[in-house]
Amino acid sequence: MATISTTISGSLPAVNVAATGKAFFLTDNNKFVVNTGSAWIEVHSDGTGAAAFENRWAMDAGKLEIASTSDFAFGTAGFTISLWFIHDSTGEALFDFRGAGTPGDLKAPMVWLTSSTIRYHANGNYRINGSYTYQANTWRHLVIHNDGSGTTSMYLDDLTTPLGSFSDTINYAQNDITIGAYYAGAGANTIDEFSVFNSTSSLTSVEALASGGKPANLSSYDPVAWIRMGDDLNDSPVAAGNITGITDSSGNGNDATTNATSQPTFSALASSETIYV
Amino acid sequence: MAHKYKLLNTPEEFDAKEAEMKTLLSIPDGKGTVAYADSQMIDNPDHADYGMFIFPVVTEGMWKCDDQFEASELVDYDSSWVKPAEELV
Repeated sequence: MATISTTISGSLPAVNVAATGKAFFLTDNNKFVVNTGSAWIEVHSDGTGAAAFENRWAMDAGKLEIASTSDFAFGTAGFTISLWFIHDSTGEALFDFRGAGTPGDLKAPMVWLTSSTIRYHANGNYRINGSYTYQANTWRHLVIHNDGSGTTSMYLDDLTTPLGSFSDTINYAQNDITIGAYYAGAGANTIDEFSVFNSTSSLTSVEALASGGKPANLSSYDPVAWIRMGDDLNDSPVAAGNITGITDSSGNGNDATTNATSQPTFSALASSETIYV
Repeated sequence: MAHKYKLLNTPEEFDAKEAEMKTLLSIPDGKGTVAYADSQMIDNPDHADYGMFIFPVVTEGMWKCDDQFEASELVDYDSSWVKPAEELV
């Protein structure tokens, strides 16, 4: 039986035409790379070299919580929140910058879905009321972007044209974050790649989050929290298994935790879901 | 995850029962499970049990604990217990 050669990423042989087709499994980062004759490329299921990371897992139902930290004290300096979701058609929050421990701060950002509307809430009321068409079993990409100059916009799938914007003078204080539901609920949606940036990311950077419909490699954009729902090497996803906690892949230690009675489960993405390679 | 529910009279009763379940189930588990349940009150003023606290009881899986309760004291979820979540914002 043939085996695949192994090495580590720092020890790949030189790229050359004679080595075209040579393949290695990199044991330090679990990537499979092939020599094209001009470069080593990482190969995924669609057969193309990709900058996007391999993504097999998502969160199904329940909720996660990230403890309050100064990383989330956006003030008026700008922030970006991004996630991918599949809506189950019921009314529920996708995220809520309030947790069971800090439910009272009405400045908290929240996005609420119904079958026909998607609304951004902050400071006690909804601020952006977006037209929304429910699509069953379809990954959607949501971005909330505060430009640090007084405007917050909500984008759905299309990062060139916002669903809506508002003049935002809210001084956002730090708070817990609930992912998948409002702070006292437990949602039924499927969610993946929840990320938070507290810098005034330019729209170009925000557009890069979509990367042609696939989750981008976010590490170069310095998120303060990046919850990959099982794709971090420190997590151990089991399809339909309980999610007890999710490692923060940003490296800032903003790991997500759970309550036993509202624990989400891992959802293994189908091979037909080509949005993820 | 399947649940039944027990209605409790005060937040103190809820906290005590939650602490009991955490001890029983070894929560925190060191893997990210930090609590058993969030406290939630029946906040629909038109409901006969308005003001009582909803304690979820897991009936299957790794957090199953319904054997700690009398079956007769457990009820199914009643959607009229709480106002629609969006109105709480």
